[in-house]
Amino acid sequence: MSSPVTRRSFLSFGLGAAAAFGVAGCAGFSPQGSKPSGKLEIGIWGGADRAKLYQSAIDLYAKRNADVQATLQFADSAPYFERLTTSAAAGNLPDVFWMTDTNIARYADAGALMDLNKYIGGSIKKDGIGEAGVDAGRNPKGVFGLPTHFNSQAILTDNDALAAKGVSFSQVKTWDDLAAAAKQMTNSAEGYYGLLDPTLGTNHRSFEAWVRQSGAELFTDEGKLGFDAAVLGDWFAYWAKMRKEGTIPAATTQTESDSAGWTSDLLVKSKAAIRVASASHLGVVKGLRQGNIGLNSYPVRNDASKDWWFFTPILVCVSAKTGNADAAADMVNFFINDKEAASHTQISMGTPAVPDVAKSLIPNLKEDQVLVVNQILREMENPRRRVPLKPEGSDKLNSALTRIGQEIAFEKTSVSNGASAVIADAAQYLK
Amino acid sequence: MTSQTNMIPKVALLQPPGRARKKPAYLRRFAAHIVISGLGLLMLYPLIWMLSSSLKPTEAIFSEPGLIPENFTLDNYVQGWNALGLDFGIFVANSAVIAVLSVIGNLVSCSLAAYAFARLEFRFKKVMFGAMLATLMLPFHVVLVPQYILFHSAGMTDTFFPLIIPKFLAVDAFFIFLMVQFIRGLPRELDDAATVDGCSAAGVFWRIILPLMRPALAVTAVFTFIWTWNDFLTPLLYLTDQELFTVPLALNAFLDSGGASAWGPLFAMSILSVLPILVIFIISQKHLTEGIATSGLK
Repeated sequence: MSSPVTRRSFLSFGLGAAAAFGVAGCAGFSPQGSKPSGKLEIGIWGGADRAKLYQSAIDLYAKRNADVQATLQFADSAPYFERLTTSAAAGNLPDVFWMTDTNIARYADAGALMDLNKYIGGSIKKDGIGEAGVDAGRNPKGVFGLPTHFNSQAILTDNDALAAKGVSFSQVKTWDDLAAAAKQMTNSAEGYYGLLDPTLGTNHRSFEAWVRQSGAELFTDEGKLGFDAAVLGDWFAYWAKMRKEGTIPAATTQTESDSAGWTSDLLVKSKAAIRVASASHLGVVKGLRQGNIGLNSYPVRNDASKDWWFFTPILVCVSAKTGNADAAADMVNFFINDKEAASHTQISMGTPAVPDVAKSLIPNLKEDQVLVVNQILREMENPRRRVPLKPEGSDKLNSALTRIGQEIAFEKTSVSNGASAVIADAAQYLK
Repeated sequence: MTSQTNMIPKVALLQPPGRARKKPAYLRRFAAHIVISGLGLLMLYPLIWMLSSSLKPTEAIFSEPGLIPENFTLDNYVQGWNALGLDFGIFVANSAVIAVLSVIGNLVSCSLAAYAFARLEFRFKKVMFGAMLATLMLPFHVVLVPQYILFHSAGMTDTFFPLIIPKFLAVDAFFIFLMVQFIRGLPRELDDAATVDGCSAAGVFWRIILPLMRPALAVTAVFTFIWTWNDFLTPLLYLTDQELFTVPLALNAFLDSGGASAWGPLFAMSILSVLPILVIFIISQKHLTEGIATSGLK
């Protein structure tokens, strides 16, 4: 016989049901088509200047969605990821946060990121970024990040110095052309270098371009190394030859310059004519020195595949433990597709991933910023095959490339041994 | 013969032949001061360089190597004070609150723990002392995530509590050990005399041990203040609201590793951030040396 319903039990049930609905309301439960609501924590890396831009975009979002209370947390790049790692371990990631392509796989594999697939095509419009954009954050298990911005790789040139020596960079199409132009610019007697050495630094996007131009990938979808020792050996040999000729700085000179930041960069100090960089660095260099600094596309290998082009995505992700998934997805769409949002954030993180959004910014950008945006828009029209998501441990490849690059430059090892060492080491950290 | 001997100065008779006179003591001291001052200036050079850079326009900081600014400016101080959208004084106040409360916490908890280990007898004392010492060897990163999970579960992230509460729980084994060694150097007869007069253990601590522990307390206070003031990682993890930022977090906000950092305002605010530490150190210098010197001696 069932126990009778008492006043106490009825009131308890009623209060419990009310609490459940209340919690659901506070969590931002919003049936399809309703406005987003609830609290959102947003995380981004950068300094106070970038934080101001993104705060103003968030204020715009809050004005349109009065039921959403969004707060921003920020820190410089390295501390940001330290905080993110600890927060992820505690299940306390921000609801919406930015991520690099080198870190996303680790968080996705750990189950810390929400699969955005169910929102793509719905709350999150994908027409602007296209399949290539969606692929930027895709692994076999789902889509864990979407690009709000892209950065591209570029060659920066001291156009005044090139013009003085009668070197026309528009004729530089291949890596061999680049080496020849750099050799022409070199003046060893005055300590002037034609080209700077990217193999000793921490950024190896130029090597990624080299690999993709050879038809291979840095990593496979299975998380293994996608290139062989021959491709890497050719890369190291290319720079070793120029180092021997004096076209690029000696190991000590380059390392010293790299360690002290942009203010000690040899192009900034007018001690070099050409350097490999990110397109967004044009503004940094122009801010630190006078003169006409040119922005140029990467050269290609003689046998380059046509669809090698790639762009470094700046990805936005949603925490798997967010209590407000609908509002988070709506905010992701806001930062990707909204032109007014982009007018606040400008090109602080890179060129907007949606071409129309990028074009809408051009009238209000400075000259060098327009050059960067136009370059990326132009390059995005080239064919580009999917870039497999960088797996967990991929950051160790960067470290290995730097370490071996330095060992080769300081003549501690040969090019062939160095290349073999990188390939052999990769088996240890790519599980 | 005798008259000739009397004419030779006594000093000359006392000194062995061929040996020159010693240099006067003041010359030796002067030379020592010159050498030590030179070494001191060498160590101070980075601070002097930072001060000089804070008084130069940002674009001149890395292009003008000299210490004397060619274009003297205070703009970096003006810009830096408001650069983060809030007065920099707010961050200084936040750091001061956390540092002062941390000092109080450490003084109270570590002195009590040290007294217990040094003077009292209780079960498992040796085990607990060993465990306390073992925490000295533990890298902070080992406890970083569990501690964060603990405070997050308690809903204390984005508050000052995770930065202050541990100080009231005697987590700084270094200071406990320092005070234990100091207390062990105090004569037990004082404790015995107080006990005979009717003092409880707490009374002995309050009336006898604590007043005599002033040098060790001064060391604890100064180093707690300095280390808390300079702490970057713990506030980074727990404080996300900019209004709660401490000075190191605020200084970090001037940096942008992907672009151009605001070096001039950064150096200007760094100079201001160093001043409280400098003042604290100068005021407590005498107690500091006394505390470090006597912590292990009778």
